[in-house]
Amino acid sequence: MEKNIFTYIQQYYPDFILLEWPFAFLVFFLFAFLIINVLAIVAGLATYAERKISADIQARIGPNRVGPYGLLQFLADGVKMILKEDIIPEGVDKLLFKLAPLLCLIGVFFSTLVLPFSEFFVLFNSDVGVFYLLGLSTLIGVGIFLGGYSSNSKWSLLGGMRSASQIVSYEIPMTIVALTIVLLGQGLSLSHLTSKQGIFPWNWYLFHNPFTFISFFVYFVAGLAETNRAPFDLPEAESELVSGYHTEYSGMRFAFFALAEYIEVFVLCALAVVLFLGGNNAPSFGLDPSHLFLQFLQTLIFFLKTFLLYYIVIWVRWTLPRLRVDQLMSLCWKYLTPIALFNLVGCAIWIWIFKGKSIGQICLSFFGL
Amino acid sequence: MMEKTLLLYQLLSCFLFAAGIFLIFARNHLIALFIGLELLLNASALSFATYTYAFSLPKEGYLFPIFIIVIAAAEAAVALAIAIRFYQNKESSHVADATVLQG
Amino acid sequence: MFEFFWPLMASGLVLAGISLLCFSRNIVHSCFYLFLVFIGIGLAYLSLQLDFLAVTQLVVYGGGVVMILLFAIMLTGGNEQTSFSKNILNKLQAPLMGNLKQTALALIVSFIFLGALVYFLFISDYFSMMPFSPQTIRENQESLTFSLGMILGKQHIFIFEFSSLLLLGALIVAAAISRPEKEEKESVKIQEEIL
Repeated sequence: MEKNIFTYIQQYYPDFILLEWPFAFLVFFLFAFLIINVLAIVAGLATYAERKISADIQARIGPNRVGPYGLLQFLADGVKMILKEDIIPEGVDKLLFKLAPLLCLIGVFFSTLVLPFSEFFVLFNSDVGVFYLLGLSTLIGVGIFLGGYSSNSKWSLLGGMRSASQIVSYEIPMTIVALTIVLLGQGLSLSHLTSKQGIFPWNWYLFHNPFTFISFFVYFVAGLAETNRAPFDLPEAESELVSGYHTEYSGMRFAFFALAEYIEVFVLCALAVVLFLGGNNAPSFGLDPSHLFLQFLQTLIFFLKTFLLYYIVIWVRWTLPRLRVDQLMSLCWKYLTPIALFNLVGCAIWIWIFKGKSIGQICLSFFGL
Repeated sequence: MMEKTLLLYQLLSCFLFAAGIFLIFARNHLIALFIGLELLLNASALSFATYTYAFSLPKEGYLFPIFIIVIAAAEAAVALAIAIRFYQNKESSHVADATVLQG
Repeated sequence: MFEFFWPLMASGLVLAGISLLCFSRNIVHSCFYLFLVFIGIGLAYLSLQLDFLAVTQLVVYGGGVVMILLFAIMLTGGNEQTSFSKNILNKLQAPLMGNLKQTALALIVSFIFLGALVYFLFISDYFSMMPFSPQTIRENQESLTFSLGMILGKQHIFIFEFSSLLLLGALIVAAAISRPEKEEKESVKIQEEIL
């Protein structure tokens, strides 16, 4: 039976249900509303975290005036963005100009539809979750490209085209790496891949193979480039293209682009956690698997792992210098794609030779003899 | 009720096909012709998938839409190449400028 | 009635998309409306519980073909709506996105096609040829991805490999066609003249 938030409530708390489909709509709506709000707060706190962590790396103090330790800084930024004047330059393509930030944001929120926060707290436990997540990043690329095109400016168009080609190019190593993990886990469903891994690190897919270990780093680098982040932020760099595709956007429209980028980094880290780091598996302490406390514990572990990867993403941004666009493209096509293909073939050969056992299991069976 | 859905999707497929034909006749831009072509292919793919679902035909019926999608993607890449070459030679993307083989 | 909701939604999106597409004079807007049409068709597949097909449609068409079309528009002169053809022998002399005469002619032709298709749809009594049995329950709870994978991997593996060869060929051909021509260097020409 399909495991999502509605079947959880239906199965274990059936006395709440009076009518079938209005209740289903209500449950899904409330859960989706909760996810959207939590992710928006996470994105806001991520801007704060980025400023604080970059300050720490650069030996200064970040924002510390607004609220205790500067924690309410992101709220102040949000209020500032809302109160700004909404400038629409003359000569822009009005429909596409207004639509592009919305396209990015909608694409990012639709990609959170399939994330397994716990075993039962999933909105849509589909059989093709991985494929769906990887495909939505091109939707965001379309939004960025249209945003760059519709601003009536050469630099925006150039930034938009560069960003779109970067996103489309780096999808290939990401998809091949995801295919490697799907080969191991034998399913495209995120919950299924999570259940194939275990609680402890030697049961994760990260330490299953040497090939998946390399694949994790390929995925990480490709994911950084997908979200226009870290050393690959040429399309939005202020010193290069006058901040690229979002030059002409001000106020809340720019805030939508920024919000979409931060939530996309969260989704990227969440997918890395599900594919490589064991997802939301938590120790069960002998309780029934559908106990509410377990669901919350799994959600907490999922968020902790994702925030750890997010910290690493922010750390990488303030450590490495920016890549030039031809270096970026050659990194993708000449290095990451061959490495990803080699990993796929290597992982398939490993599965054939060792019958799908991980390094930990082989060592245990060797010493158990 | 399911039969109504089948009928709805078949009619939708006919409308998509008619829209594709309309675009091919009404526009003079190379890319607009290609958009019409994509609509034609999508109409046939939707029709295949709907009939295969409605009458529980063998699962190979779902391979047709998948291969249509795959072939359309390859065709889009070649169409991009042709459009770029055409623009490099003629400095225009009007269909009436493609007259080298004419007469 | 509620089960009819998603088919109606998908059909509404597709019809809105194609009506906006057919009567828009801006090619980039047309690409965006095509994107809406693709999403609508993906929703239609999803309402028939064909999840793999819907996601393939979304990813390949919505993510791939629309991006390629946008790049093709940008690299071939962008969004000029009023440029005419340079061919002075062309008696039509219609602008890039069509004029009224062309649109009227196209409407007549497309209505003829639509009429023919709908006539053949209603005249064929397909319910009497085959028993109507929609696949509401999947056998063995196996997913569409699994069934299609088994079919492609065991029975129809030739067409699978051939389609991958076709895609490779298309990629190579596309890259080879759109390379700029190399012009001979001046020094080589002078050398040939001397020798």
